Amino acid sequence: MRRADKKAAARIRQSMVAAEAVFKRDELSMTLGGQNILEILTRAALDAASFSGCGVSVGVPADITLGDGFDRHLFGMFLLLFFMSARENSPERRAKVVMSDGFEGLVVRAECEVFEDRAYRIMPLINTVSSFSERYNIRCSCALNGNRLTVEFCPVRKDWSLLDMKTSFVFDWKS
Amino acid sequence: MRTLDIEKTAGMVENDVTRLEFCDDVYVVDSSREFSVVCARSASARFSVGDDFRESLTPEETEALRRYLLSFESRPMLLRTDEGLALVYADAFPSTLNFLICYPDIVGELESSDIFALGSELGIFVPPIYASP
Repeated sequence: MRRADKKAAARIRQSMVAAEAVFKRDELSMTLGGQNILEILTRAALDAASFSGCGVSVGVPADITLGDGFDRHLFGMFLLLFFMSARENSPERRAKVVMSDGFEGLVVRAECEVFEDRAYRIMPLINTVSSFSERYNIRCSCALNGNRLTVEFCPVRKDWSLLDMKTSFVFDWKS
Repeated sequence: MRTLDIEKTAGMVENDVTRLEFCDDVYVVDSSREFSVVCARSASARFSVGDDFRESLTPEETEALRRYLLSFESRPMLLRTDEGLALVYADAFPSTLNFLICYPDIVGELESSDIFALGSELGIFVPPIYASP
């Protein structure tokens, strides 16, 4: 291998190590049976923030329920998108993430300041998060108050296909 | 390495990042919306948010990307674009239909055979268009 190629190989290897530390988190796949879910989620958020170059404060509750349909990909991608947007569009390059226990499971609330003249640049983030919400019927809300962006996201996919079980016909049939 | 100290009770954990841990350009591309760039963490601004990633690819490379995204390949893929050699991570967050592109800062042009050799050495998926004849 030529010297230039060896340098390229070293750069690519370095890049892969950094990226896969965030993307290939085997720990997150064990969440349902994991021992310390809070630590795993917090570590994932911190790693995503470091990868994005964004400072973050992560608030964690004392206890948390993930919910049956917790999707680690949605969770990871949401955080990564938010941190990358905060890195590019926040004057302080800093975000705040608070995890809490919602009605359906884990709820992630992410906040950051954005430059007043760059508010339009967060629209792709909002559109993407909204598209997750529409595709999987998950709860999400975005708000821009002044220059403070708040996105609340619930990465728990619920199956609503049995909702018609509540109709009177089925109810009568069951009883 | 950071150390984590999460108490059993509720609390805040802080992460003070003053600089990037690695300096590759990173882009998130939404494959469900015309391959537009959704988010960028870049130093050299190869793409802007909203750009079509496919515009930097030849038809052969676009086809290679399509085949890679439709395959069950879990390794990242090396892809030569107009903006330089890219690492495509489609397996990072598959259920979101978004994929990530990292541009390691590689100086100089690489021939197809070089890309093939790099892929073989590093265990990265290389599309057949770069395979040596």
